[in-house]
Amino acid sequence: MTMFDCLGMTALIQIGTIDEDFLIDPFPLYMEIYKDLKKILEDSQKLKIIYAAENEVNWLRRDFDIEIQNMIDCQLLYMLHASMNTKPGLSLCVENIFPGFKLSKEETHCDWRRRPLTESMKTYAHLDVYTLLRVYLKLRTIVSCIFFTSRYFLNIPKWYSPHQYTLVRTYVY
Amino acid sequence: MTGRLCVNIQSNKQTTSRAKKKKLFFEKSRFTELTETENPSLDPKNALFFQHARQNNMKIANTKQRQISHSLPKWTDITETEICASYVLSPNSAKISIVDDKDSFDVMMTVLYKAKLLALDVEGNQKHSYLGYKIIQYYNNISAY
Repeated sequence: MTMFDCLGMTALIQIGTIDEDFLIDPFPLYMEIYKDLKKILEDSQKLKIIYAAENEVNWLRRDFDIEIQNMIDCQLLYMLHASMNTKPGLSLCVENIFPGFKLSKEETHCDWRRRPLTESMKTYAHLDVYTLLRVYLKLRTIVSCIFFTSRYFLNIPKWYSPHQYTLVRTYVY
Repeated sequence: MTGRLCVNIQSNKQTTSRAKKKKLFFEKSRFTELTETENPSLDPKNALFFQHARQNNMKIANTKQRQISHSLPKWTDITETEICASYVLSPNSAKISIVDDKDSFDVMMTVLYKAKLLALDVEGNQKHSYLGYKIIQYYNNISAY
């Protein structure tokens, strides 16, 4: 273990559902996250959508001992859809999926440990998770349409669902 | 059989031609792939997978993959609200709640227990650590006294 393994910390957790979005401050709620939120993130019946999961998975594992189950990386889904080799950012993905909508990335490198959060930080954090869910839902319909047509031509078995297809891709790469 | 052939090639490198080596290398790699899985024809990464599916008229029930797909939520399980949400992007009308105490956390948990689809994102600092943050907080508290 080196010094660099300790670097990187979870300063804010955003969770978005269809009806409501939550910005969770982990510092006063460390034990609650460790006990209760862990159950939800490790529940295989709930589908978790993440964009570029490398940091998120590592930080949650190290800080709260959370191993996320049943997760889809939306970045990989978008790369599959757009047949890209490079990893696109969320803003590019949102621009392409919802033309005319732009995500500002000004607050990306700000100090997320500061409290209270400024209004611009709150809107940035909220927009990230809000758009991510909508992008996934739209991508899912697009990719499933492509998948069902390709299933007809390639003779892919019915049980081999796009869910599994994306999951297989995450394991392969 | 293929495994044996590969071993022979490695011992007699000079005698075999390059094309033959290449061909047998691929055979060898296929051979190792086959030995890795329990039922190689059902492994999606394997080329034989699709062939097997066609030959058996896609009657591949009670396999490992089938069990996994059952445990996952179905692709077709999409609600009307989800469909509407995928076409509308209006963040100003969205409901946000900031969770920084136990009461709001409990309210959040009731919502999350019902939800089946969650978008997750984490903001953090790459250069700092949680331990460092705690130490700084500790020293600040001391200096305050």
